[in-house]
Amino acid sequence: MSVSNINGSGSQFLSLASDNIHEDAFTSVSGELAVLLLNTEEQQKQTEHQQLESARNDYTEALSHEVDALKAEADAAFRGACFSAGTAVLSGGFGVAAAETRRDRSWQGAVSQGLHDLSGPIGGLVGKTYGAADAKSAQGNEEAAKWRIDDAHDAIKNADGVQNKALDWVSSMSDRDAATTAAILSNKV
Amino acid sequence: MATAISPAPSGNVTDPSAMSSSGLSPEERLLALMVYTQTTQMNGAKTDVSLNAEQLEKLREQVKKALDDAREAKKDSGFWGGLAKLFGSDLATVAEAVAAVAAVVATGGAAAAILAAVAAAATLAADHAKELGIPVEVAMVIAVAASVASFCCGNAKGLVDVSKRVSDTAKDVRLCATIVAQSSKAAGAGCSVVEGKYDQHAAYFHADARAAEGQQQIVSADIDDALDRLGAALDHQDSAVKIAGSMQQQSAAANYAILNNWGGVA
Repeated sequence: MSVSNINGSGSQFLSLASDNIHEDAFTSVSGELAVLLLNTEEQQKQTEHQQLESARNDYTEALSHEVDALKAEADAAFRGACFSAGTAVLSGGFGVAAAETRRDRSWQGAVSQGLHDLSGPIGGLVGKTYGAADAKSAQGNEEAAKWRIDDAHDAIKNADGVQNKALDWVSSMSDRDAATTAAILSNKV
Repeated sequence: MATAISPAPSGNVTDPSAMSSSGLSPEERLLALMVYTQTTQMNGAKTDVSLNAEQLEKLREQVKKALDDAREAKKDSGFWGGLAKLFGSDLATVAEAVAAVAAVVATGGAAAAILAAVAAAATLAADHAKELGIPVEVAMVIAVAASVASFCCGNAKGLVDVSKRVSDTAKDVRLCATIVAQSSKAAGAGCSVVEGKYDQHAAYFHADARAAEGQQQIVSADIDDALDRLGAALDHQDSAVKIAGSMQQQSAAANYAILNNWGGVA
């Protein structure tokens, strides 16, 4: 017998793609219908598992983007601090040079003051980044992926429920067939 | 993790492909196949739960370590930030104030120098208003008023007539104070770079913690998924076993009825 399992993400049920067990192996229409239902729901579960996998990958990707954005923001902030500090150090150097000229007004003093005033804006300009916005956007994508994961989980649970109902159906049909057979056989010749 | 579920030994259910010629009806073979499939699936789900639980534990450790490291980095950043403030703000402002007063003395009370001194006093007051527990604006007003009053009320007048020696000394003091102020600012800037580096480290650690937290959510979802699969497989298996048992019972009853009929005929 070559009944092949549907290979999925660990949730295979069974497939009727067999040369020995066919859907029409059942004598009653109801039996065939029940098997068809089982098979359909299994395929539905497979599709939802693929959706789940896809959403999972999207979530991982969005998470990676968020982490990259946060690190880029930290890098930019440090770069800004370096430029700001470098300008402040230059300003201090010119300030010392201005003091050594022993004059009230000197170009070194003017440069020192200018650099001092510019150090903050320069740091802000160099350290400017959209990392926080990117991280927020990535968080939004993560949320969307999580919703898709939840949806896929729900769909798989629903399919499981339908499969259980189909099995109950098969069980009741089997009982009914047996009762019929028993009734026929009990009619003695 | 204490709740790790060890996988059940697999292979305890015969492969239904070996039942092709065992005389079972298609329905029974189908049910046997279901039991086999669900058992395999249960074993897989148990293994998944166990592996994911271990991974979850590792990720928790990673988050904890990253947050601890971030806290340490933030502590270091705070230390260097304090130094940067000390050098770049407090010390530099005091030195500038000294330089401004020295300039007043050296220039004999020139208006520009007086204004510089007033500005320095205001800056100093603003910087220390918080420590004094008064609003910045109030501190600056007090400082400016005190400076102006001191210069207007004759303190500066006495300084105007300073000797050349005092003036030279004041110029030297002004030079030294200015150098100290500028050097202090430069040192403060250097400290702020170190502070920025530690801030960067802290942000990196926070990002790592965020990554591990996100992974935790994925692994938790995987565990939930595996548990769902386990539950569903158990349900399906129970149903299949129940149906198979019922079929066997019915078959036995039918055989008994046939034999009974034969007995009646004979």
